Amino acid sequence: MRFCALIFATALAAAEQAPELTEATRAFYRGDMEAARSAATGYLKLHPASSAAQLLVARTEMVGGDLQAAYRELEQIVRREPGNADALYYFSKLCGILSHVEYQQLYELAPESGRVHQLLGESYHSQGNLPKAEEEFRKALEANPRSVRVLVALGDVKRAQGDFDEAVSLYSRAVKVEPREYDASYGLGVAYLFRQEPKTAIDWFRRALALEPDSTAARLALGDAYMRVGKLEEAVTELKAVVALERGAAQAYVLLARAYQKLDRPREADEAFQKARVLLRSGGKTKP
Amino acid sequence: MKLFLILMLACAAIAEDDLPPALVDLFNKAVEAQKAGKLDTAEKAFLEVLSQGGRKAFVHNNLGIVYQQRGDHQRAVVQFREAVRLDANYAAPRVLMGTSLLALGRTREGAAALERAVKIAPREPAARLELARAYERSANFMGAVEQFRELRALAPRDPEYAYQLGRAYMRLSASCLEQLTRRAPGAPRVNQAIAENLVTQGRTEEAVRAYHKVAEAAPDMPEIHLALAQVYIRQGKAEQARLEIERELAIVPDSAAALELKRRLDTGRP
Repeated sequence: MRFCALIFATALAAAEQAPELTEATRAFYRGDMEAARSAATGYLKLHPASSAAQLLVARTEMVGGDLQAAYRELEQIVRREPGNADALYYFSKLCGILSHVEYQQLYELAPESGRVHQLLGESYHSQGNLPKAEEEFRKALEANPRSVRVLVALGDVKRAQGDFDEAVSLYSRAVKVEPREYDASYGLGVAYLFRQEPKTAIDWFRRALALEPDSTAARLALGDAYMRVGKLEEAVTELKAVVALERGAAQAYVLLARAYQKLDRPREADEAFQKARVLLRSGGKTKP
Repeated sequence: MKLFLILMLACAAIAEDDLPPALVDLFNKAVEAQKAGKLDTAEKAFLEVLSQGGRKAFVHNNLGIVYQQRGDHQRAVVQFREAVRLDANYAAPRVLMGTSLLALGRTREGAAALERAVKIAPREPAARLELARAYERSANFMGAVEQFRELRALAPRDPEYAYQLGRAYMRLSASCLEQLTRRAPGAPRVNQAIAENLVTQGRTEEAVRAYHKVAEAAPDMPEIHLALAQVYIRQGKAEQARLEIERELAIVPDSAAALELKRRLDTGRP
């Protein structure tokens, strides 16, 4: 199994808490998966609620390449204990691997399909190679011109390249196919904001927020757009909502301070600037 | 459109058996109009069938589809509900009702309708696809994975399901990390995941810093010094790698992976 080396390298986790599992854990580190699995399974039979034992069983299954069995074990732990950090960590890792397995099968089944071009586009995009990403997304769109995901992804590429007209056109096509698509609405808002059309941007950010009310990115951008049209009270409302949702949002405090300045509320402006300074020094978020 | 056709075409065959003979022609005309996109004509004809004694589940189902195609999901839901009331084991209106409820933003109700549809017709792909969508909307990514796994099993050669399952796994993976970060920001596992991500991106200097954060916060945590050693080897820093391997072995003396890496370093073939 070609993923084994990767899994093994990352599967060596923190020492187990229960002393009875020490030998199983040692066997695991030694690379004796049979012994590790047998001891952990035995312990689990006696203590069915032991997440530590079940996690060890899952890890031996991951190393042994039985990814589906590992999935079942980890899924049970995460359902039972949604806050178990070790289980969440390994479940995340396992799902990432399973995702790659599926994508590899997709490539084997249909190497020239739109979906493969889409995945290649996403991969190039994440690497920052925008021209290649665009090339792949356009091939994906040829296969399926109504793919909302590809339209939005290509819109994001064009936005990143500064071609806001093309971005607006692509996002608009996406919204036409799927009016409840958050990313397209948000993308339209940002593109209109860059085109210095804040009123239109406000409409789209509102739509995006109707779809995802907890989106701090859309709320921050909406606050920004309100400031640009001089609706300062509305801007303050949105920006205060951002910092309530995400205390580390330095950019929100900066905008909030500017809004308070314009509203002639110097004390609140100073407080907001002060918070922004502290956050920026400690590496707080500066962009939505 | 595909979904509509699949869930609509079956009705034409049933009509002849279930409707009074005088209404069969009217019903078939309505279906033809619906297929041709003449929605006003289709609506009128279906309403006529209903008013003339043809109160059958499949008639309400088709009328619901007409409303759904128009984007009038409120009225569509009323028709699908009536279809379900008349025939509780009829899966199609449950699937379509779920779709309309999703379009109305009533995700929980939509998921409930679709779960029932999947129970009635477990091999019906449309029901599982829509249920997976409902689960994704409500951030139930494990539920979405389950549905796509079933779809993959139903059609192993279908590339679309491979793509959708891969995507569902990826979302679940990201959601686990989000939960981890939300519950314990700055925890060793969070920084470990960040470091691994940085290694994947080739940003080894930043990865080293992230791994050191983990080592400081959790000095006895296995795997961290081993991972650091691997990064140092990638950077061509054999001595630092050696040091990290020793640190790893101090925590996990039997570590097969650390011993193997040490052996490779010693033989000059890392």
